[in-house]
Amino acid sequence: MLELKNISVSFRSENQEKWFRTTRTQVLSDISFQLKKGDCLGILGESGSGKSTIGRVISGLLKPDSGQVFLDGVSIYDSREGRKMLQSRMSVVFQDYTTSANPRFRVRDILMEGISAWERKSGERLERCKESERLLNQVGLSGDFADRFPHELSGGQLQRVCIARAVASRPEIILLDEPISSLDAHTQVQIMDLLTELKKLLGLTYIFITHELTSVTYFCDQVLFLYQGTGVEHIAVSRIREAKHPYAVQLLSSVIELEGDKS
Amino acid sequence: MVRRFFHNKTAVVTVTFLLLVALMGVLAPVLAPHDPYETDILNKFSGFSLEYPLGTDNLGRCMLSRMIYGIRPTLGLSLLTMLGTIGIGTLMGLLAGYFRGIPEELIMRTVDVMLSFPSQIMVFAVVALLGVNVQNVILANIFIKWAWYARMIRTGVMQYRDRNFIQFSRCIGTPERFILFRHLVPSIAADLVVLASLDVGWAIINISTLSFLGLGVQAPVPEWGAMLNEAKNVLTSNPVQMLAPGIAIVLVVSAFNLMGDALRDVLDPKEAEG
Ligand SMILES: Nc1ncnc2c1ncn2[C@@H]1O[C@H](COP(=O)(O)OP(=O)(O)OP(=O)(O)O)[C@@H](O)[C@H]1O
Ligand SMILES: [Mg+2]
Repeated sequence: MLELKNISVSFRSENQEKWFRTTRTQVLSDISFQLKKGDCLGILGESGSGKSTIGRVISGLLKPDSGQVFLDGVSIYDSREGRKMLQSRMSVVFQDYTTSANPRFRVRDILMEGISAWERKSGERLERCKESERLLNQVGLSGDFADRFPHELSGGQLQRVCIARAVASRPEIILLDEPISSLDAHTQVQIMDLLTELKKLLGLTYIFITHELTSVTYFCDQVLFLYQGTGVEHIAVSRIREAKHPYAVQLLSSVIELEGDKS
Repeated sequence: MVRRFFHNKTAVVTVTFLLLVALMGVLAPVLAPHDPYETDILNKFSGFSLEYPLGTDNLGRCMLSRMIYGIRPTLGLSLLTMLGTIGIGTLMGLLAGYFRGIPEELIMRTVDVMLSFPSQIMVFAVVALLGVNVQNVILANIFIKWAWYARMIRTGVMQYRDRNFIQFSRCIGTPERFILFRHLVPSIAADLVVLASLDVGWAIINISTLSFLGLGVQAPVPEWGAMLNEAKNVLTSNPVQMLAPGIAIVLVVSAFNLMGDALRDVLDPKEAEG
């Protein structure tokens, strides 16, 4: 359902050498991939390889220099309708949960933003208190949390609230930009299990951005290795050992060595 | 928030004090023991007495009555100035910070130009140009100060514009109106309140200064700065004359400054409740 074609993105460099011509650094070059409904695509790359940038392109927040993003065949950057359609079917969860929620909103109001997005597109009125309690229960929190402020929650709880907010607008695709990277190992597994459960329950499609190979193998169907802004290898997780690009091979072998050490 | 307000002693004390002062200004005809314009030349420079609790001035007018009536122009004009500056400054700052591109360039370059003049001298210049008149004093103050606030507000907006919660709103297509008025404005509101109350302090001083120099509120209207001006003429013979308006200005201005700080704490949900 989602297709990226030859996406390239560059930013103005920090230190300009010439006065009038601006030099630009290429962050993403020529990235293409397709994603089927119900799949989970892992985008794997080291820090600075452009993972978050590709996330912003997919979520409609950053227009690429060249290339197009299609959602069910409609280009999302060429028309208002395409943009609207993406907005009604896509949602995001960010890595940094401390800035993901407005610190002045109570949990109830945070969820309300997602709920009202759903109300806008479906034209249906929901009973808001019930709905926010249902959402909280769905992510494994009790309804009492609705009156708290974000700073009164732990990181894992807040990330659950962000996930609840993301599913509140009932999207089909959720972009997960390193949703578990700033949590401890135990919470990471809990959140991943929660995400898997929600995926089954709501029939979601995930794009999962991460820098850890282990979470990809635990969680995803396919993986795209991102190396210095180019997609070097796109492969199903079940055949991950057949990856050929040196970067992918190096990542794989380091993990295998670790596992070897343990046994 | 109400609970946080009542837990903050400074906020309660300063707000109460300023409300009382404002109330006194509103109720001036009831509270003042004499007509502030009524002269009694035989009784000039009289000391503190039961009939004239703060004494009388060079024309024998009741100081206390003039002080109380003086609240009206002093507070009223400075509040008006504050509303004007903050209003224009916020609007320009929001426009520049949120929409970027050409409006931002246009506004910020204007701001740069405005800020490259020394403000006090510009106020004098504008007043001299337009004529000595209270209205012009306010216009001049607004005209000079808005740029400063526009810049502060823009910085605030830029801080929040790329925060994840706004990115999320954009992604799911929340209306711009909601993003602007529910996310951005409340986020910068705390800074805005501090700025606004500091600005009232600044405006009081500025209007009083102009009146003191004879460029603002004109005699015989009672205004604290103008009263200081009259008192200055008899500084050596009757220094006591300076006390009442001088202390009043200091008190009110410091109350506004303290209130700004206190309200910022009140508006921040992270300040501990309890
Ligand atoms: N708005 C921007 N302006 C200029 N350069 C940017 C901007 N956003 C990102 N970059 C640059 O793009 C490159 C990729 O950034 P990106 O945020 O996509 O990395 P990432 O893979 O998500 O890293 P991490 O794992 O640390 O989150 C970086 O070198 C960064 O400096
Ligand atoms: Mg990132």
